[in-house]
Amino acid sequence: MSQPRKLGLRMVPRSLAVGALLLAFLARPAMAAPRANTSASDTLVAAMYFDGKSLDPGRQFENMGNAAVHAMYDTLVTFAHGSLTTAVPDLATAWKISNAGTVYTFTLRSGVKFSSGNPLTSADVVWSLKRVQNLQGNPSFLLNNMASVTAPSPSMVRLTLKHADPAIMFILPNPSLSVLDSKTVIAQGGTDAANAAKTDKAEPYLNAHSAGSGPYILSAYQPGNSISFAANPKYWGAAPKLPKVLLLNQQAPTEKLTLEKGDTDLGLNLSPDQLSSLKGSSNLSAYSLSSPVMFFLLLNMSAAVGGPTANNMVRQAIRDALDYAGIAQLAGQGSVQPAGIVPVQFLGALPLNAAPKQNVAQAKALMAKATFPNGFTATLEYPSDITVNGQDFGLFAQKVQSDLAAVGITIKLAPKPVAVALPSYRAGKEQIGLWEWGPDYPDPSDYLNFLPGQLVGLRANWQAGADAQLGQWMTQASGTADNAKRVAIYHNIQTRLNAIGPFIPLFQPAQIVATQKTVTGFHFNAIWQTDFNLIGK
Amino acid sequence: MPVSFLIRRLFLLVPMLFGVIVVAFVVSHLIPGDPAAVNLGQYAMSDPKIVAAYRHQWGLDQPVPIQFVDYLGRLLHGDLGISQQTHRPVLTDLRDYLPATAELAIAAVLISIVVGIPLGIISAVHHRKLPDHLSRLLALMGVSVPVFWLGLVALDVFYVHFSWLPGPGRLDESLAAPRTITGLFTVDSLLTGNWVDLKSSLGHLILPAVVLSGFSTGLFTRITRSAMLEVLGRHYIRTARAKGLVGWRVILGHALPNALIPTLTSVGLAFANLMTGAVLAEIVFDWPGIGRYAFQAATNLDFPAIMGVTLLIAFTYIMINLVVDILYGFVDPRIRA
Repeated sequence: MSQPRKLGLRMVPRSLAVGALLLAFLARPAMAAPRANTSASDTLVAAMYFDGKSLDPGRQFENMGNAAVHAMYDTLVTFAHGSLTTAVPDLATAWKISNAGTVYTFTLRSGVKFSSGNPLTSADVVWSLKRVQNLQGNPSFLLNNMASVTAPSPSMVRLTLKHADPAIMFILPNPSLSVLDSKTVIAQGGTDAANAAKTDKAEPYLNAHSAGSGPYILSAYQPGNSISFAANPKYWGAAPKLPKVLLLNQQAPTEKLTLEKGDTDLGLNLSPDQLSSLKGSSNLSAYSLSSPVMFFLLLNMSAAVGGPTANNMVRQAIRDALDYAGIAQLAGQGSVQPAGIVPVQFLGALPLNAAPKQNVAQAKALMAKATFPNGFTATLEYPSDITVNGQDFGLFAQKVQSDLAAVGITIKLAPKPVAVALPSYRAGKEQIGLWEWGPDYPDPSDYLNFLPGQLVGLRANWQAGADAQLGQWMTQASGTADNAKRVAIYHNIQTRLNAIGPFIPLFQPAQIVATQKTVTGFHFNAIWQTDFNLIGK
Repeated sequence: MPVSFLIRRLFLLVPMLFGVIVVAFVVSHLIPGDPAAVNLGQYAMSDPKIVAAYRHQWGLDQPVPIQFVDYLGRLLHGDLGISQQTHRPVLTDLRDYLPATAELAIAAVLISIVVGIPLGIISAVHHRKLPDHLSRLLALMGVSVPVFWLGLVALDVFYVHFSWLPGPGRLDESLAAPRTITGLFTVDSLLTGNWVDLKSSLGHLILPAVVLSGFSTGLFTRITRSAMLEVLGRHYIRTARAKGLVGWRVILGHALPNALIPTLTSVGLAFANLMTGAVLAEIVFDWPGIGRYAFQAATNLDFPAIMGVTLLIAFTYIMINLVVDILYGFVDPRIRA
């Protein structure tokens, strides 16, 4: 086929010119105006991954919801800055605990008003807590131990527990237990009635308006996209350092780029592999913070499901075979290997030097003793479509596979979408599972779930009564208020868990956060990320 | 184009959409996952009362056939249900998210047409010469380079380093969205004379649209090239030249219209594909569109949202195919007749 060259050449520039003109038109406005920094001086622009579904305090129980709700609402008690070890006054200025440890009487701060102008009274506190309990949503379990909540006077709230539980002061700061303007929310279809799960209709309103007494009010919420806050002029505390906050939904790679460009002031969900380049930036302060999330291996205790993993010698061999230092290295800078199931920053955590270490020779000896000198084949299930703190489960599953191969255990990897893997894990059907546990509240009692007969214990088919000693300690842990005694009990529990239990704590990932160097007053909080009202720039 | 053809095609829409509903409903409910497990927390899931309340709230406590009949009944009343991820009506979600994706897809298709078709023509005219090799290389890169990688590189270069173009999102954060007419920020800002928003929305559109257009540009180049090569070898082209017609008239007037039919088909399909396949571009560019919504719906087993998005996708494909069929008539008189 021969084409007259000159004709083609004459045609080419024209078509190119048309394309170029159109592109030039499209590009013209942006090129003509160099990008201005959109992060206005009165607005804090923060980015995080939106995992939440709701801004209704009684229904939300995710990172995004916690961060947003904490900005708009107050709780009876709270945590100051980044600390999670001591509850401090918020709406309650003082409290008394009965001798039996079951009745908590809170005195409310006077003069507090909701953003609507309605005064905040004990009736609002009672209504809000009952609503959470009766909505039967994700956070309802927080009040499982609440027998009653009453208002002896407009400034007093009496919370009665079913049984003494020192963890309640670590539960009450949770943003889900925020105090709502009951008059406003009732007018919008809210209810605290026993059948609130079916009759409460306030969620759409609370997704479009705030009804709290916190430092900010909700300006706009675009699900999956952004949340805008404006300072609450009726806030009882110091006015927020910045009158506006814009919270954007961004994934880690985009978060890093917008930070580098200066369009965002704060990035809350960066990934560990971004840390070194973030630290190299002259405009950014990067933090590798300790996340309380814990990645762990589950070894099924049921012979029917686990086969060899039901044998404690095999479980100990697996514990000895793992290369914890290599796992921590994979997890990146700032990650730690907890010695037990309680995260390192919580009361009752085992000292780091008590953490298991790799001992392949001992693992092989245990395998031989357990009558598996030639190893065996096992299946390791894990969620394949989610990352937690930027950590991909698949990477660690492969590491476990390679570590266990050294002692003759052949691991078949079984990645599954989380929607499929979760039911299998929760039903106790996994031979070996790789999962993570994020604390529901910052108290070691949340980790009693890993004991026989408890929530996570049952996922390893570790039935109630399987270990009398642990059962005894669990009872003691629930009823002891003295912190020194609690530490001793939780140390005992974890040491025993490490000796006979079905769980192997692998690592706590780092939480990578970065801010512009001009940002002041930033503190990371593992529950609600940060207090936006304390941040300036 | 006979009107009866149009009526027949529109009538066929009903059984086709019904088929899609049946298949999507059955497949999404066959997945061995449990929406309650994904959407309820650890403790909530361990409380049978809460699980029962959740299943009741979302209608999951009914047998699947009953759920299907309920769904159909509500659908006939224009109710697509409530999304489990946003807790809003699916119809509201689709209305909010669709324009962003439509704007991105339209821009990407326009770029692909403007770049891809001329490149294909150049390639065919300069068969086995340097321009051909270069455009084939570009086309290969366009169809091969992953969108998420290209997107991040493009942002790093044009947004972070050179500051030539704005970053993620549809509009500068300091600006309010233009008054909604079509939902397409560029069009709405133009119609309302909001030049600040027009400048910002066009700027924000360039990078994601160019990145997203990579695949379709490569596709159009290759299809146009091969169709042109075939047509340029035909006798009537030689005859036209023998009659003394100058080169560009032969190529644009005689060869191109005949070579456009396969390209037109691919433009239609590419547009539908871009409307529904922009997930990665939307995630990288923080673009609040239907792709990101669909991804969240799938990972959360949000059945009403999955069904809503599936129906929308099916409807889009069917309508675009219909438009392409109509356009055939204009390009090829034999079809019109």
